[in-house]
Amino acid sequence: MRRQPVGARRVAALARGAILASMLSLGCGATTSVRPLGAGNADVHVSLGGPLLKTSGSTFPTPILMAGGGFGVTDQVDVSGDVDVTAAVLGVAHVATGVAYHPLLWSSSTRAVPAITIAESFHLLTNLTDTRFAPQTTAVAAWRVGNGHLLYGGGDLGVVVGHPVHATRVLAGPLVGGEWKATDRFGIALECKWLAPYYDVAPLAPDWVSPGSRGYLSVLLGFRGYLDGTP
Amino acid sequence: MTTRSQVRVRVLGAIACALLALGCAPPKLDGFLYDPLAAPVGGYQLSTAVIPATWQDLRIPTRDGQTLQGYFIPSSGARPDVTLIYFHGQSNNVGTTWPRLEYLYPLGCNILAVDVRGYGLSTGSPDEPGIDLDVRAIWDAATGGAPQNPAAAQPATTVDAGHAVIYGRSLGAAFATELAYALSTALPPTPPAALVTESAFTSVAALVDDGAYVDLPRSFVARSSWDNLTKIRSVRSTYLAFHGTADRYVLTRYSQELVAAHKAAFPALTPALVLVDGADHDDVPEVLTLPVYQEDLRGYLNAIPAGGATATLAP
Repeated sequence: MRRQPVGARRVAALARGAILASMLSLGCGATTSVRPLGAGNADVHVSLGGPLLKTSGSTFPTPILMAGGGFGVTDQVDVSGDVDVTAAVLGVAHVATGVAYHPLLWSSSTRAVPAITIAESFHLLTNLTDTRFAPQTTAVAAWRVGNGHLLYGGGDLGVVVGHPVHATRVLAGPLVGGEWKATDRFGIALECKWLAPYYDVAPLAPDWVSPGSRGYLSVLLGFRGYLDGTP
Repeated sequence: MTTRSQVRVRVLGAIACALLALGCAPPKLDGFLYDPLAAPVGGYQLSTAVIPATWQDLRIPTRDGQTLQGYFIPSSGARPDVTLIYFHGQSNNVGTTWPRLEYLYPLGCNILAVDVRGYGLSTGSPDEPGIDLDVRAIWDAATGGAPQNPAAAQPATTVDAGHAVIYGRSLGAAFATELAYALSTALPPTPPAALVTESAFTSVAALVDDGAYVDLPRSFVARSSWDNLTKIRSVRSTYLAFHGTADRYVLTRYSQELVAAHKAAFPALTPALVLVDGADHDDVPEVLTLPVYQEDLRGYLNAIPAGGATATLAP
């Protein structure tokens, strides 16, 4: 018997994974803004990637594309806005607005002291028929390495409000990443998040790839342009 | 030197462009759900190794002006009074489905296999409202019912409604369930003798739910709903479901839920579930082994009382 074409199956599985992961993108669709912008400075950023998905023997990060920008209101407070391009292509508006507070900035005397970021964001997903929203809190410590590069680690805590309410889910997990300062105005980030590691994804379809089949392991590639130079 | 106001304008402009893109982009996942496969250039090269070249090429019009193509394969066996209507799954057409029809032909009944819109040589593109029309048009063509488009020529048959078995695999199980549901809830009801599903899902919403931890509305993902679980509760036919236990694409528990729902609604119809140990989404008959697969189906055919008209098709 002729089997269903593997290519079509792979595309279908990837598409299904992409849309599902896209809806998870409140937690895994954008690299974290960890570099304090500074008062009056702005950035634009794009992230590509998402939870790892296995289909037809191969593993891929789901192709979630998010784009947005940030602006430094003060040296310690940034605001940001992001749109989920992948969700938009599939007919769902997913926008996120957030504010990041940096209670601790880098010290000029020692590199051991990290910048601390505590960010609150609000995600709205709607297609005008159904709507979901999710508040999210992110806490990250970022260390400067070398000539302005960054290494960072922290965690996410998001609450996806379901309908009915008992379908509400908590999305939490650790994250680690780094940003390579390619030029004075441009950085490339690689970030890994482990979302909901307390959740068994083994019974789910499609096949999500994560340690011990727990949660979603997300790999993201980010590009960030600092319009006023790297802070 | 960049001023703060220029920076603000740049950022706001970028965000405005992205928001504009949101409003212009259409949903696309339904296309991946259906993934219609067109017929090869030059048409099908159908094997006569198992099925003799006695089949008849059908062109079935639908109420909304589409034309469906398929084949009526007359019985050469013991049950010419029974007609099996087969619906294939995504990424296929009646040509790629031919080997499956070769599995079914030895059962001795007639076989009717027609591509719904967008697949094979059928016109149009697939969507749920359109396919609802298609399955009804196929049924009307098979049973000689009222044509959905009286202005168009269509085949006349004498397939007996009470001696029909509707069989659907994967996405095709949704089409089969829709047809069985429509016939069971019609006034007066004319349910088929049996419904057979293979590797079926319960609904598109369930497919979404099983893929994500968070609560996602079905409408975020697809326009189609294909709510088989709701429909199966109204199908007044004998029901048989096949599913592989190693199906990682459409989960095994869906068929368990479908059979349980049918049994709760119509316990006297004794629905049956054949779980095929180790079978994946596409290889249920092969893993079950062909003789066992055919014997399971033959049992259902034999349970249909003999009689009724011998199904023929008059072009």
